[in-house]
Amino acid sequence: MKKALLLLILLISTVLSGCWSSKEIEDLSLNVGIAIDDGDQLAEEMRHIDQVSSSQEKGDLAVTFQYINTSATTPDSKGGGQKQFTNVSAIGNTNHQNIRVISLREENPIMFHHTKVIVVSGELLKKIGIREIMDFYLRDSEARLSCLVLVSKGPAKDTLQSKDPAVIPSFRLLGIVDNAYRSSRILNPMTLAKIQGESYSKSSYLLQNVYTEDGEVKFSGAGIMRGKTNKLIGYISEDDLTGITLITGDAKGGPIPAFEKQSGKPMVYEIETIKSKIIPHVKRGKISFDIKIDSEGILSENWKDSKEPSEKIASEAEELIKEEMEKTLARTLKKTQKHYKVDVVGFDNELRIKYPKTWNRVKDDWDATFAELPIKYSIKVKIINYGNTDARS
Amino acid sequence: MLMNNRNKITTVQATIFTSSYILASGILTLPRTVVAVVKTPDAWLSVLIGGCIAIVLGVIMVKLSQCYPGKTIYQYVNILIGNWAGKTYGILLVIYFVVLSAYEVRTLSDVTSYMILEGTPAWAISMPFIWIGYYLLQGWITSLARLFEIVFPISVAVFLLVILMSTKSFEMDNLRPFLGEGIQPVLKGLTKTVFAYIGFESMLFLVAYMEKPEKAVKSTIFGIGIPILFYVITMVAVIAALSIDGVVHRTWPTLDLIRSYEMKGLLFERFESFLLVIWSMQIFSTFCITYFVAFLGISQMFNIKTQKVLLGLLPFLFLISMTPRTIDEVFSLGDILGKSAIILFGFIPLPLLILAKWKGRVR
Repeated sequence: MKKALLLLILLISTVLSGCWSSKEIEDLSLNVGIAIDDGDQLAEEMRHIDQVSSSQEKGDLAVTFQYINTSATTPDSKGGGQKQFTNVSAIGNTNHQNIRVISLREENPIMFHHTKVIVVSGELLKKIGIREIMDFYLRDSEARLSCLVLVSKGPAKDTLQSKDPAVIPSFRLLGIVDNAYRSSRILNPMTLAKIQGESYSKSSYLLQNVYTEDGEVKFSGAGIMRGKTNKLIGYISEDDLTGITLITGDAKGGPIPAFEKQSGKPMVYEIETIKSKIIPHVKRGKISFDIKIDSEGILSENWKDSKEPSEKIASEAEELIKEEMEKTLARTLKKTQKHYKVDVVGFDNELRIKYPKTWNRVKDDWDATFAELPIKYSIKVKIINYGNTDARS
Repeated sequence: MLMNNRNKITTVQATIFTSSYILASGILTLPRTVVAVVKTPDAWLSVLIGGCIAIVLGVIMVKLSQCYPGKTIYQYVNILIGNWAGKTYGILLVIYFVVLSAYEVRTLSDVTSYMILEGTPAWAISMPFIWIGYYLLQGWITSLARLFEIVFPISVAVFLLVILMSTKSFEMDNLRPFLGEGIQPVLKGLTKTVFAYIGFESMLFLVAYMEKPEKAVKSTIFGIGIPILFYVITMVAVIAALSIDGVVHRTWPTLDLIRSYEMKGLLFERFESFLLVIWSMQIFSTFCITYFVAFLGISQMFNIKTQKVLLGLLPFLFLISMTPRTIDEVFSLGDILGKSAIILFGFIPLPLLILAKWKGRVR
């Protein structure tokens, strides 16, 4: 009798047990991307639905949520079929309010465990600091800290569009970041985890910018964030971004073009390895920096028809490439140091590490101090291979 | 009855016992609490030095316990400093262990309800936890030790795996400069880091149950050494990934370290649930030990039957764990516990040891 009772209890507990507050995965909207725009600017466009739904006419944030359309059929190669994703937008004062507005409009609650990317409009970042905008996602336990943060010069919600229904725009953005080994114009990914630290440190930094047109996207330069205010103050172009990645040593595998002086014919150098060093100097209270770049690579394209031996071609090309890099560096530094007067490369880091005492003296107004500092650079380029042509006979 | 050979534990078990006791709720918040005081990337050094201090304190307690073979602190403190003072110290210990035990339950239910079981009421998480602990303690110290023997290697393996996988977000610059502002901030951090090794007091009780009590020093050194290694690795990885500016603003920085990366192409992409699992097991270990030690105190000091004490403590554990209302109150309870631990196990054992040695010589 006792045994039977025990067995019964065990049986019942296996049947009745389960997760306390479980939700079926089919009944959840899996969010994969978020775009945050300036609510004032998009108010006109989005009026139709949000005006009826709330008493406020406009809000600070217009947030677009992209989630996976689980019921969609797989589109065929001709572009037929349903879109794999759905975008929903809402206008409101805060992120959390906006998410709850979605609950008034969609049948399934949104969850953020799989959010891969957050795109913030540059215009919005000029008005509101990134700490405020990201606060909700940093506080919430759903969004992971590995989530990527990007800036968009145009409306951020357009970056979550695509013409091809088979493409999920959030995943496309994420995939492009992984191409960093093919291009010198992609920054190290800025994740929510790093945003937390950056937004509390006083140093300035860059956020990768996404350009968008008609459902197509392109990584194009970067937005400059001033460390003191955490607001965006401007952009640097793709070419200038190469200058930055050269200095930081993150330019892994980007092609650097140079042009032959007489004929104007191009030759391209592909970076194989790059070692960059920023060396701070403090002499009698005066700070200066040396940049040393040491790179080896391949001559990957050469339009000039040359009968000369490979050593000669190499030394000529090396010289040209070096000049080209110097030009890029000069242009980049002029832009960031003289024009925007911010240190986005990380000179402050080197000073902090090598000369902590000097750093403590200047750290409160570093960007202004930095703008006046002399920076010298020396570049070494070595061609170690020519691909499958021009080999030594 | 309690002293037969079946109830003895081996040296290895004692080592794992101590390690399991030390590693608990602290590891998820340690980087924040230490960096908040130290404010330089050298915080890990402070953790290392704090560990060495803990070892010294641990060895003092071993020496003290070795003066009275086969007796726990509750039993020999009476002989040492007289009945009244001894009882007072014993009762303070019991109160401390009961509250610490409840505190572990509370952190567990807080973190799990926030991170994994959103919507599940706190009592539904902590009650089964407490009951299972009760069930385990039916098997006395040996079943505790055997459980830890199984759980601990798993914890070590999983922990090292998830921390080492974070190397992708490892940035050396966040750890430099080394001692840029001198040793001063590191020493300031010691006030926090010694707390992290609460649990080194296990030797006040364990020596009595060891098969070879003469090896207790060795098992203390290893028992505290393993947590030191854990803590230093955690500190280095967390600071390198999140930077000191980021660490101080995260509530659970260690968990955030695991949340800051995804492994593509592996069977699993994200590993925070793994960390939470081993962390829950470690909290369970610490909970059981403190529960056990509290019960041991009451039953040895007042000669009450095992079962009654074990059952009688259950409601207290639950109620105390439910007392703090906000997360701030939980953390300040942790602070109070840390401070009382320093008084109870930092300052008192050394005079006791000197007294014991002196008495021994007189005799």
